[in-house]
Amino acid sequence: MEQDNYELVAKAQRGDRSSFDDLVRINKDKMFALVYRMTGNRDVALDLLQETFFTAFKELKRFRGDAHFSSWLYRIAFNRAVNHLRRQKLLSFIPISKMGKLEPSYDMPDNPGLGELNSAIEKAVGSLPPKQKMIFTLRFYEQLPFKEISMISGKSESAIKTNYQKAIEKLRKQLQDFR
Amino acid sequence: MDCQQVKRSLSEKIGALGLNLSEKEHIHICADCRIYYERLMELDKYLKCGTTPIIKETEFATIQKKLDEKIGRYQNRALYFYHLSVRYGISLTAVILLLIVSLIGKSGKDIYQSKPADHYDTLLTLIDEETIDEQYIEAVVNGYVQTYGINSGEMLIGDLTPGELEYLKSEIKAGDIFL
Ligand SMILES: [Zn+2]
Repeated sequence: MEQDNYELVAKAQRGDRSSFDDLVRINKDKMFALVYRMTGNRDVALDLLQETFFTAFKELKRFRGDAHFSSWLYRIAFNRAVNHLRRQKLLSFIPISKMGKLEPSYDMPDNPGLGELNSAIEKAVGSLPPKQKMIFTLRFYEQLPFKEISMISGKSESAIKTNYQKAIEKLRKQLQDFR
Repeated sequence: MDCQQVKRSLSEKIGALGLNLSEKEHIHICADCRIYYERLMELDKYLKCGTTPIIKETEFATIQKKLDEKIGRYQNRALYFYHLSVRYGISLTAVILLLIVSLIGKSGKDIYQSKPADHYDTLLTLIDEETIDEQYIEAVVNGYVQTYGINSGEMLIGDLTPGELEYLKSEIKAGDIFL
């Protein structure tokens, strides 16, 4: 996978548009999973995914290859998602008369077809602070090494491990009713 | 290995559970850590029941289309500015830069000296910007945490009191977009 990315990135950096499209196709599922789990809203996640790839296109020449391409993308996606959450936070302080209706911040439990346990899991993961949500998603679902998550988030490996443990503890507490 | 070390290294493994020899030995003699490990195993099992968010082909096609349009506009704009800069050279760029700098400086003063209604309008304009300044956010969040002593991660989704919000706002300067 990273080998594929490596060759495609080199071509895309030289201006080959179809290589960039291939990069988008190869990485879309992983990035979508992250932004969806972070925001809990499908439409928002789709927008963020599109923004992530647009930013990647603009910044591609600055990618030096000292990290995995997917790690670099994860970082962009994470920043976009945090941007969105901050924006939501700020919007929540602006009077509704100025805003119209506010977007719901978390819509996963309403998704049709999700079992009770599924909803509980998604709600529990959704309630983690953004950074822990990212760390948990990348470690648990994407099985990335802590070192790579550290590169993506710009935090030390030990801070990542501490946050991961905190996330696990929170999930454990929230999901104990299902035991 | 003491209990804390064992619990930490066990949490790090969730998602990829497997015990090394010293953990096995410890768990054999320590009931507390054994229970902890069993609970983690259960959590691991539950979390794996969660569905992976998948992007549908139709959704992806929409994203590709939007991305194409955005990239097209971006490239046209880049091309336009390239021709412009070739034609009018550095002097025009310098004039534009000076103009932008003076405008930013002016709007900076205006935002926080204006009436509350204008203030909200300005916020609405600011939140459409794409900028993220991680160092700045870090600095504001650190200042916030030192004053209010709460976890900076939690701050993003926890509720702010009016006093806390005022503090945060006072740290935001124009041109520094806290989003
Ligand atoms: Zn123990």
